[in-house]
Amino acid sequence: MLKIKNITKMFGDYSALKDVSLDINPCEIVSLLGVNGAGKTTLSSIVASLHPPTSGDVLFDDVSIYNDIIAYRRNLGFCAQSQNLALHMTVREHLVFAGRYFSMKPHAIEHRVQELIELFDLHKYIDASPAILSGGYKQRLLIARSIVHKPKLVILDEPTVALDPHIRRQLWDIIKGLKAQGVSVLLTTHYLDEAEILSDRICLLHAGRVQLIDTPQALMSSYNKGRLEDVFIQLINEQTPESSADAQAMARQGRDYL
Amino acid sequence: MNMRSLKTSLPVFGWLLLADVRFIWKDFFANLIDAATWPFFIIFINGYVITAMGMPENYGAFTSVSMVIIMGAYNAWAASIAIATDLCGPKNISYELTLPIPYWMVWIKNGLYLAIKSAVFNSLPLLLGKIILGNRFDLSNFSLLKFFVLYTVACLFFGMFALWSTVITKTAESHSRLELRLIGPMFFLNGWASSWATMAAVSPALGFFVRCLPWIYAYEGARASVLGQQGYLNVWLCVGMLLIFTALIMWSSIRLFKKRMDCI
Repeated sequence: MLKIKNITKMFGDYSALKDVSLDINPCEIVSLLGVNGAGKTTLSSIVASLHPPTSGDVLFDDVSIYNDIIAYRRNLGFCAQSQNLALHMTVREHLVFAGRYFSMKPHAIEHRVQELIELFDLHKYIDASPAILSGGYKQRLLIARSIVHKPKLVILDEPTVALDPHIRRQLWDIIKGLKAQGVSVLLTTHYLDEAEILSDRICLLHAGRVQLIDTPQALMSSYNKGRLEDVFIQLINEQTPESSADAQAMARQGRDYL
Repeated sequence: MNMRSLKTSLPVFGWLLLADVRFIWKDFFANLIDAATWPFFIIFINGYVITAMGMPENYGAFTSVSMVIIMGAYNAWAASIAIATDLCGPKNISYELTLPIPYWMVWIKNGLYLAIKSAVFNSLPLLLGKIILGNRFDLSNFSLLKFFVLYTVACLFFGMFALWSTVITKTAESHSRLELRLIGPMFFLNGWASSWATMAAVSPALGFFVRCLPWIYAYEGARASVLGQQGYLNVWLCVGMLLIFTALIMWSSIRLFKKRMDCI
C-alpha cells in the first residue's frame, strides 16, 4: 500500500535519513525504533506529508504522493506527539470538525462520531473541553480524531509517551483495534514492550539508515533472545561506542528504551 | 495544484477558519470590555483635557478614528502571539498541515483569523467617541461605504502583518521585542497623533518616509471616510496602497513560512 523508496533527508550538511526504503502493507502495524537522532520522527513526518524528502519517493497505491498530495492526505490520519487540541472546542466538536475537514456528510459525521465515542469510551467528556481531560483521555481523543474519516493509513507518533502503564495498555487495545478495522499503522514509539506486542514488523533505524526490518518473533529467534529489549541492546552494542553507552544507560533506567 | 484539489481544499479552509473564529465569540464580553476600556479614557482625555490645553476642538474626534486603527492593529498583534509561540514550540499547526489543504491556505487562514479578530470589536471607538464627545464629534461627512471598505482592507492588512511578524521572529521573546522596538513606535510615528499633511509640513523628509510605510494609509483613509476627505490622503489611494502592502506581505509571509516549516 505504502512504499517508501530510497528516501534521503538533509538538513543543511546533516543527513537525517540516508537511502531509507520501507513498505507498509494493508492492515499492518509497523513500528519505527531507534535511538534519539536515528531519524524516526523525520521519517514519520515525511510519510505524514509534513516535510518533503531531499531525494527519493513515497508511493501510495503505486502512485507518488507528490503527484497529488491533497488526494494522499485524504487517506491519511496523523496523531502528533504533542497534544494539539483546541481548548475552546468540546470533545464532540473536535470529532465533528475532523469529519468536516475530510468532506464527510453531516449524517455520516454524526454516525461516525457516535461510533468513536463508544469505541474510545468518551461519553463522560463529550461536551467538555479537552482542558479537563487526563493525559490518557486526551490521547484517546487525538487517536479518535485522526480516524474519524476512516483513513487507510494512520501515523501515531509516540501515542503512549508519559502515560500510566494501565492507560498504555488500554491504548494498545485501541491500536490493535485499528488494525482490525483495516487500517495500517506506522507507529513511532519509545517503548520496546509496546513495539513487541503491537507490531507486525519492526523497522530499526540507526544514524538515518534502516538497520533491519523484520517481525518481532523473527528478530528474537534470530538473535536467540527472549525479549525484544535484549535484541535491541545487542544491536546497539554492535554499533558505535557512544550509542552502546546510551543503550546501556537507558536499559538501566527501565524498559522504556526509546 | 490542480483545480480538483483546490475545490477539495476550499471547504477545509472554511471549516478551519470557522473552528478558529468560534474562539472569538467564546470570550465575547471580555473582548468587548477590552476593546472599550483603553479607547474610552484616551478619547475622553483627548476630547476634553488636551483640547483645554489649546488643541483644536475636534481632536477628540480625530483621536476616536485613530483608536479604531490602533486597536485593530493591536488586537491582531496580540492574537498573533499564540501563533508565534506555537511556531517556536509545540508546532500544533502540524495537524492542519496534514489535512487535505495546501500549506499556503493554512497560513492564509491564520492571517484571515487575525484580521477577523481585529475587525470584530474595533470599530467600537467610533460609537464610544460619539457618545463621549457628543456634538464635538461631527459625523456629517461620514461615508459608510468608504469606511466599510477601508476598515475591511485595513484589518486584512493588520492580520497579514501580524502573521508575517510570527514567521520572521525566531522566539516568542523576539516577537515581543519586535513590538517594543519597532512596531509600537511605527504605529505612533505613522499618524496616530497627527495627520500626514501636518507631518509633511513640519518635515518633508518625514512626510516622504511615512508615505513609504503602510500604517499611514490606514489612519488617513479612516479619517477621510469618517471626518471627510479634506486635509487627509484620498481614501481610495489609501485602500489601494493597503491592498498592495497586504499582497506583498502575504507573499513574503507564505514564502518564509514554507522555508521555516519545510512544508509541502
